[in-house]
Amino acid sequence: MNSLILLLAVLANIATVLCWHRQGRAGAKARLSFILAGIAAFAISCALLAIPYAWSRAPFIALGLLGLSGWLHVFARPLWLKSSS
Amino acid sequence: MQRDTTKKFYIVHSWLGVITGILLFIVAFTGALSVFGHNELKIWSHEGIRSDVSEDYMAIESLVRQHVAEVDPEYRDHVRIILPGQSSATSLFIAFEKDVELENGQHEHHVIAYRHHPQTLEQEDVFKGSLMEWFTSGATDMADFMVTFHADLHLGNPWGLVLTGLLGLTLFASVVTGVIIHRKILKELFSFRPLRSLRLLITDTHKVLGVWGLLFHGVIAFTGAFLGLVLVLLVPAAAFVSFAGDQEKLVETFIPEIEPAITGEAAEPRTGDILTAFRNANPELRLVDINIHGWGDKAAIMAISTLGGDTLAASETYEFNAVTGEEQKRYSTFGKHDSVTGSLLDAMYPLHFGNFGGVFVKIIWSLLGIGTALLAVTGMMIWIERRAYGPEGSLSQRAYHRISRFTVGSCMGLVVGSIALFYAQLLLRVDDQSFGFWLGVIFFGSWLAIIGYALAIDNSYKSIQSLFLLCGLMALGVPLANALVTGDALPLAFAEGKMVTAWVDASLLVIGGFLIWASRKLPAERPASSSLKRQRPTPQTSELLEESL
Repeated sequence: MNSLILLLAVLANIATVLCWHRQGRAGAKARLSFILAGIAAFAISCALLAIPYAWSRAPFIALGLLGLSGWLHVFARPLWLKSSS
Repeated sequence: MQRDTTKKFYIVHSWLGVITGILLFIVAFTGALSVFGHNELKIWSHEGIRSDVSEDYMAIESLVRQHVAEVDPEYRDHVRIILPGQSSATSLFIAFEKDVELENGQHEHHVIAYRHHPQTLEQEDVFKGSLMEWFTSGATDMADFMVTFHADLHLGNPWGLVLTGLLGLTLFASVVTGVIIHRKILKELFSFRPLRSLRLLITDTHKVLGVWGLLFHGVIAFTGAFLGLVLVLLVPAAAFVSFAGDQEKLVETFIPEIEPAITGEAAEPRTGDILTAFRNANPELRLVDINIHGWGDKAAIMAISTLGGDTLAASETYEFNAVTGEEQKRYSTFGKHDSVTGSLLDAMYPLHFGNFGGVFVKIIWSLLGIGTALLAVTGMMIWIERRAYGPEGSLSQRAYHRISRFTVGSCMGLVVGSIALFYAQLLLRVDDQSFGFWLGVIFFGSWLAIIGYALAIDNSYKSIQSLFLLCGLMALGVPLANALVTGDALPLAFAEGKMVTAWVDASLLVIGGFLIWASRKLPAERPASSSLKRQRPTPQTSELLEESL
């Protein structure tokens, strides 16, 4: 059960990064939506991590995961784009 | 901010990085390994605790009673039980301590410590001497070696601690100046152009590593500076300001000793029952040690130190009445000092080592730590690249190449030395007292050999490629060597429930495979398109600054 929660938390963190990436290239209306979605995804990640780790530790873990998700997205994206093209 | 000011910060950032770059890599890389020092690498290093250690608390209680009958009554005031495989202990220790006043008026703790096998609980030896001698008498293993090297670079207290503390401060200064000079920091979150040129690849990698890991780098730098300097500078300074220089009084204020209200009424402590009930109620906690104060009295206190609770503090202590088993208190290391300062102090260690949430958090912290190490390397690469192939710098291109080769040797040598420690742990056959010395010989010897190799090879790209391959092959070989020496082949380790051993071996296989894959992808020589025309002697920092921003 905990593994599933952690997996969902990781996915929510990656969603945060993707939303933030998309907001930079979106129009005014869509931009706000992406920003709100990104914040919501991060909050969900924190809430999920709080289940096994409690609220006193969850934000720290979520912020650490956010850094890793950012690296994963930025460094893996060119490889993914290259292989898909 | 004015352009000139930004340029000044850029220069500070650049020089701070290049002066401390290699040392920062060393501390960050060993930190990423030290995260697993206690207890994953500890367990991997000792066959006796690889499989389940004894948790028969009733049997442990009967051993304690047996030893209580053997020791002088003066030693019964403080009984310490250290459980194996939980943090740094590899055997069960039952120790009895007494306070002795020396001729010069100072106090010293004397100890009688019985060592028992972690699984069979058979007595192995007895130690008698001072507490300090006991702490330093244990054999060093690769986990201790790595953790100590991260903490003080094996230079000891105070020089090593001051050095690592100052490195924390310089990393923090680099983070702050990095944020100041990169004004478009949020726009650069996704800026990564690996195919345009070598220089852009390195610069973008440095920025992305820095920006996404910004909070981590800042936290690790601040807590590292604190942990390095606390014993050497901060405690003496605080004692000087608030306790008239009495450091013991300051420590007692923040970490008060347990003092039971002795009644004089005799009663037998129920260590085994209390421990069994506590274990059943808290299956997720690691029980590190148990301290019983006032043995034999009705008001004796039994304090159980644990790891893995639901607070940010790494360690929590539960106090029970040792006779009735009634829980009296629960607090973290600095929790007795009920204040914001106590909470902040409690957060320092776990935030630095990532040991507040099990293996999952340790993996996150370790990967982020590798990122910090790579941040230092990429910073060095940018500095060299701009001087060897750009308009900056006043040395010859040959001199910058020499610096580049030394950087490659120092960084890759550390990785090789670290993997060599796994082999040393498995293959060294020397007595306990000299084990640490030989670990050092192998670690520093292989490191120096790699520095020599990197300096001897003209083409740094080729040597990086070869060293990645070497590291990959060495990492792949560790599980094989482990299987041959201890018999714990990977599938067997999984089947026999030696999960920590199995996961360490499996991780080394993955890391080895990745390094070999990376060695095949890395260029064997500098890409021709990346060579920038040298425009000396006019340094044009402003143009480069513009690029870097």
